[in-house]
Amino acid sequence: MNKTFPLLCLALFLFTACGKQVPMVQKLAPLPEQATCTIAILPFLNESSYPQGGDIVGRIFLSELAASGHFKVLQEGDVQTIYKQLLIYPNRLPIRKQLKMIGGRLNADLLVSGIVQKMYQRDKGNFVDTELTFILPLYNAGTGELLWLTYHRRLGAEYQQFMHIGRIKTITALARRMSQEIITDWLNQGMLPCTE
Amino acid sequence: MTCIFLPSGGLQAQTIAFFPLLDLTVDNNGINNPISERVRQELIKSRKDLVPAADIMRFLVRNRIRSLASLNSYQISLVQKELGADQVLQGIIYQVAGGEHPILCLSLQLTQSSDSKIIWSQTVNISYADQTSLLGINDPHSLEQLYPAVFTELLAEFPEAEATASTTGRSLNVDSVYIHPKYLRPGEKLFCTIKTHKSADEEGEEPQLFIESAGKQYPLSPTEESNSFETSWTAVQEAGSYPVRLIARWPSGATQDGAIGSYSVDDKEPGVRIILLGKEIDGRVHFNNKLVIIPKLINPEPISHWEISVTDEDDEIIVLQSNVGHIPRNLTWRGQTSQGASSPPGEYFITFKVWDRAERESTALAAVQYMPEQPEIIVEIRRDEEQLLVDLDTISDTPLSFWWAKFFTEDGKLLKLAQGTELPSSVELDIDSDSRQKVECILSARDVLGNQYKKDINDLFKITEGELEEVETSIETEWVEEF
Repeated sequence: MNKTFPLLCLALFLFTACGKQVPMVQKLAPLPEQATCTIAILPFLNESSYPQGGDIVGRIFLSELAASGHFKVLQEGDVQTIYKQLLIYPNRLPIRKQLKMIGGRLNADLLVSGIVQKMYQRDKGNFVDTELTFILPLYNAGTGELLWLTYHRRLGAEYQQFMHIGRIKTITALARRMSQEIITDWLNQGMLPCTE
Repeated sequence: MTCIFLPSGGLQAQTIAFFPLLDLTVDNNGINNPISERVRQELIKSRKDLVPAADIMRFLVRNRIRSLASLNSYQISLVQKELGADQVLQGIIYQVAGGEHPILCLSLQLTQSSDSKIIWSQTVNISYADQTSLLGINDPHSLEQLYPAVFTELLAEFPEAEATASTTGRSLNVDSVYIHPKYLRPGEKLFCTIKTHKSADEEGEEPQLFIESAGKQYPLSPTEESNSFETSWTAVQEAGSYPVRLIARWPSGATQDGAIGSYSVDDKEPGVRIILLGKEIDGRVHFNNKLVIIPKLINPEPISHWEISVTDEDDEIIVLQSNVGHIPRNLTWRGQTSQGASSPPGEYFITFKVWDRAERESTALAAVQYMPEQPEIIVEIRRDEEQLLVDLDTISDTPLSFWWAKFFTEDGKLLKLAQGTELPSSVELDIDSDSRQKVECILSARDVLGNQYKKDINDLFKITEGELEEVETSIETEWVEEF
């Protein structure tokens, strides 16, 4: 999995870099039937130059996933405890065996990790430029298998409608909006919400 | 996007434990007391029943909680037990800026303390740019002026009341798991130690604990240390990776299980061979100043540690080196001992050992001939009536790469140039045997290992008369003369 993962990310980037502005989901395997309710968010990796970029995007995504009301999102503290117990560095993606263990310990259905590739907010006087690019690998918590790979890239200016109206002016707001777009897209693509 | 999970049941006022906000603009463990206090005041204004801030601080200290906004399920259950709180409110500040251009982005997350379920979550992100009006009236120019908009949006859908939730089933509070060794041979013994928090079960009812691996269950028994359990079992014979699960069985019949780790059984040695980059002569590897040793694994697998040694003909170890981790790409031996002294010429034995993670050992052994000496050429002179015969030979066992001999008259005229790749050889010089003119000879040779030899004989006739002077000979390190 470790050898193919960068290639998959590259392929996803090449196919979507100049594409439309919606999250691009590459489905590598089907989601487990009737078992996508309980989700654990793993620490996001930060490959951008924005300080705490991984932490910010990861926690906003967790917050939005919980706020969507469709899933049972597990406590971040529980994930961190298992990372410590399994001696997994938060700046590394766990290997399949470790993913399986995390899933087993948390009784989760799905695991979501993340890699923040580009993140910036620049104040240009009259307006603020923001850009965010990240990849979300989605794993089967029972087997550690990589199921979906979601790539999303957006500029704050892309939301501008008239004059400066609609333009996203903070990186947090952009991360939040993109998280909502991904969650909506996942549901449209067939991810089943909790039934209870 | 805001969600409130509303289970059926009677509504009643809930006590909320509001923890200080994590400030990611400081670092991933930062704290922001002013904004935390501001949020607290807003919650009190909204008639929320909050646990006093001093109690929260004492709770954090007492339970050694150093990271904000990331309480685990066990710590959340302690909030309920020790602070009597029904809900836990944690928050994170993502962006904050004061001054003329204020920005505040933060999120709050409300968790039910009885089952650690997130019941509400809200993120707000407001900057001066969002609040700018066409005429610039009432535009925010400080963080204080931004607060009303932030808190109105943040707390707009805060749950007014939540049903008292019942505890959903049993849960184990595992603090740490230690399985060792992680890699072992078939039939070796494994040990597992599990530590739970203060009580294995929140209600004080101790469950029976078992380890399940490779289809078998092993009961865990308490150790002398409190809240600690251990067991041991024998690894299976078949190689592979085996998951380890923890099973808890309560007297009521409730059961909980989960993966806690794994171990691997290794039944194969890594196998190793070494390649010596030297000159092969008669099936044996020779070198003169530098020997490159390349170790290769036959069955590649992660290596725990390795060792290389060089022994002489008397079986004495003259070089010993070892390291942990994977084997090096190559090693170089320059014919010196570990103390830096030069070794005498002769035969040496190189032993390379590797150990895999299950401590299986593999060894490779190779012999090498260390030949740092220069090839020596013996010169003998014979006279006949009209010729001077010069016989050249070598006593070195190492084959020559080339040799050449130049003969000059006293006035510097070249008499003869002879060259070749094999010795013995004979050179005929056409000079008058009665002449007493001096004949100078320059000899040069190099063996296949690169050892170079040069000899300058001022007067050949002195050899015949047994009056050979000390002549200059030296090991050449670079090319002396092209021919």
